[in-house]
Amino acid sequence: YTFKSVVPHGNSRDTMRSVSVDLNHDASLLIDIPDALCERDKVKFTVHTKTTLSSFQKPEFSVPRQHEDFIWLHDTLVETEDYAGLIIPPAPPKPDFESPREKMHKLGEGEATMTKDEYTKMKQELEAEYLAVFKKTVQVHEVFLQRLSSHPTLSKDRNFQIFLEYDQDLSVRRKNAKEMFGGFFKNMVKSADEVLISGIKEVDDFFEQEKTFLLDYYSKIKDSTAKAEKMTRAHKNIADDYIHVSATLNSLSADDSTANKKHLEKLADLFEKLRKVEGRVASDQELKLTELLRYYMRDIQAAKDLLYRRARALADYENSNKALDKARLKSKDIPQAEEHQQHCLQKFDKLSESGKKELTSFKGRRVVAFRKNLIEMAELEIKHAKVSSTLQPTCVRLFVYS
Amino acid sequence: LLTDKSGPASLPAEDISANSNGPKQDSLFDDDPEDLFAEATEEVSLDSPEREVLLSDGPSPAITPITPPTSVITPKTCSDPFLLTLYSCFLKIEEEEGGDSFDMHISVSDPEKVGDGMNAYMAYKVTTKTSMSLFKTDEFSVKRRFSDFLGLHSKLASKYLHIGYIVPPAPEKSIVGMTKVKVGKEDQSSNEFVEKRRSALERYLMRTVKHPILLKDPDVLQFLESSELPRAVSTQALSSAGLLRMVNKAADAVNKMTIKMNESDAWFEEKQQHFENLDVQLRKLHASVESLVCHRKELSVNTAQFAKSAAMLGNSEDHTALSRALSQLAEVEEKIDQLHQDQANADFYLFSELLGDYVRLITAVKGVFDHRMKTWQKWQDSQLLLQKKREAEAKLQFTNKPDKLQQAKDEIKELEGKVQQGERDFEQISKTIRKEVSRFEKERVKDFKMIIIKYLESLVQTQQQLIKYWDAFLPEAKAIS
Repeated sequence: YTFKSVVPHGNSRDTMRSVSVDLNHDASLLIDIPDALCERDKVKFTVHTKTTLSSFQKPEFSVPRQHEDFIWLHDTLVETEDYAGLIIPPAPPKPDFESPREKMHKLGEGEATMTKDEYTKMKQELEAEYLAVFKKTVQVHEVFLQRLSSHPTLSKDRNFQIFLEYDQDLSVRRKNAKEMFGGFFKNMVKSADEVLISGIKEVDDFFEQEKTFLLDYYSKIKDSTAKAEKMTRAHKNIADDYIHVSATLNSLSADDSTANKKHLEKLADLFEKLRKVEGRVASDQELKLTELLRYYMRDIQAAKDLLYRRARALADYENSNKALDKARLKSKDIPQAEEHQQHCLQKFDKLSESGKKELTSFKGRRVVAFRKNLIEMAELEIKHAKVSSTLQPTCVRLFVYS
Repeated sequence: LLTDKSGPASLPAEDISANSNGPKQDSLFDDDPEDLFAEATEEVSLDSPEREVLLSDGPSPAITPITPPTSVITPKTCSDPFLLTLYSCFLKIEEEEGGDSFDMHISVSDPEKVGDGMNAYMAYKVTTKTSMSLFKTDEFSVKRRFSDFLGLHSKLASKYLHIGYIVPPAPEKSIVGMTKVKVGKEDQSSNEFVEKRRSALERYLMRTVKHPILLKDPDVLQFLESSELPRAVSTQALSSAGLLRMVNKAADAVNKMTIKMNESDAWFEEKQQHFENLDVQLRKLHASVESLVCHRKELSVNTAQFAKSAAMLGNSEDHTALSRALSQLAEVEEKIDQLHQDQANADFYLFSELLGDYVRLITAVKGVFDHRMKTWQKWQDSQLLLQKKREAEAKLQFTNKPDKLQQAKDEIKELEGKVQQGERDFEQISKTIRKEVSRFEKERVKDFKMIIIKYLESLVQTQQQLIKYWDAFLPEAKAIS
């Protein structure tokens, strides 16, 4: 199944934007992804920039970018020493059309067992799902760039500018970067992560608390994300069932010559309306709840990475102290050891200072986003339930009086 | 209480012979003067003057709320004006269609495990409430086990099926389900199994006694009334699965018939096709609804799991207000999971089981049509035999064998009787089937209407509860600062 579409999603921007609030308001650098092309599951994003900064060659321009380019940008930021004390916004996940693609395949196989109406509706549902995945991936890539542009330090990054401006293919640069870093650093980070953070002796209360909190919170939010996803999937399954029920009721109604005919028709109609509502409940829940949790899970991972880097710096500092003591004992290479120790201390202090700021503002961001999304989710649930609860009485009235 | 006003007596007499294209029976239904709403085509809005009439406190008798026998969601403190209207509508329908109202209510309750190990069984209390003079008292109870029900059905089937009566099939046997119960597993799935069976047995009895002929059958009366019942033996071929096998065998036999039945009565051909279609569609619908039940249960479980996870997240959260909001979210989701569970039960007990019952009932209807075929075949066979005997007799006339001739004449006399009986039987079963199908279709429409209304109620209630829960949560979310 090939899904070709150019989708301008400007007006649906707000749905994802609410996950991370207060982005893209600074007129000096405005970024958005006004449209994207999806061909054979490969997505090409159009990154559009509007800026008043002189560091850019033009005030407004657009470039085509692939997912891999975003990953390249993210990785270079992570591996930049100067940014070690910052929470690097999490990389957007790879566009994943696996689920709707598989379902579409199954649908094709089962076509013979359904009525034409049923098949059409199921296909519509799947196309909507495709579109939803597509929209989500566009938005999550957009938010990544907007996080960067709203960060005082990261927005000035050279590679970020290249990403936004360079009108040629970035794949050459990407290959070079891979060769330079080999990717092994990232893997190493992931595995050593937990052990190092939990093992280090913390001197600062703030970081001690943060460490405990983030480690625990991460595992909890990861679990919640998975459970929320399962809830959404169950809603979608129910919506699909409603399609089949509605279609069969229509078949029954067509064959019926008794007073039942009208009843069955109305009931079929009701289930059709219910499935639309159920579908919306599922997608709203996904956007407001599941996506919220998923986004902050990744963000917390990024915060944990910061803690890791600081822990590394602390370890380096402690090692440099030991080296200095050894040098003093041997009376050999003392100035180098002293310089090295100073360097490590400075790095550690810088990381700690920057880290504290980042983590504090992160908490604020998180609370605001949760508040906004939980309110919106509750309001949408109420709205959908109200719509549903008026559908059935209408149907019942028609039953009783017909 | 479900009203029954049908019965052979209420149907107009007509000439139903095998060779006539009988009158279309469907029209009986639409013209039924007792169906108040058959002709009503106008939609009545909730604010219309008719509504005032229904809600008036006027000279209507004291109204007690209905507790439908298979209800799993009952409106406890129902303040919703719409739902109240609904119930008063129900009651008005009951009253107005009354006069000949079906005044009998059977409940199956109090399942009790008797004995231990593999010989254990479930005993159910069968309570009958009625003011019919057919019975000695107004209310009485007996204890019955599942095989007793199967035994009752087998007796009724053997007495009535072959003469054209649609005998309601008994609930299915289940080896897996019962073994769990016998082994003593007191878990949710075995409890659900017992409840499912209890409900099915209740519906089975109600359907059986609503049949005017079956109600008066001595086996039925004995089943309901007498404290001791002889153990039903060989309940093997008696279940509806067995019935289905019988029907399929009969269908095969029909296909092998050398003389194809000349269906000059279009009514039967049309009805048979109708039931075939109905069978296919109902099975499909049943499968979809079973899937719905399954997914709704899944949703309930997933919601419960999410609730627990959200609670843990709330505990972990260090921002006080957000932590409290997350805990509240967890509470809301926990309540919602119970809602989904209740809805799944309604999906099942109201919608799914109704469809399952009708799939089995239609098998019984198909069986009855097949018996008519068999009856016709028997009649044709004796006619053929008579003809052969007559030919043989004619030949014997020219021989000098007076004994053989007399024997032939006697046989012919006997066969003529058989042929006449065959024709009468065929006419009778055709007549019976017409009445039965008409009654069945009426019941079916009523049944579906009633159950669907109840089911829709359950949907409404679920949605209204959802609104309440989320409304309560909203200020908590807004309180985060």
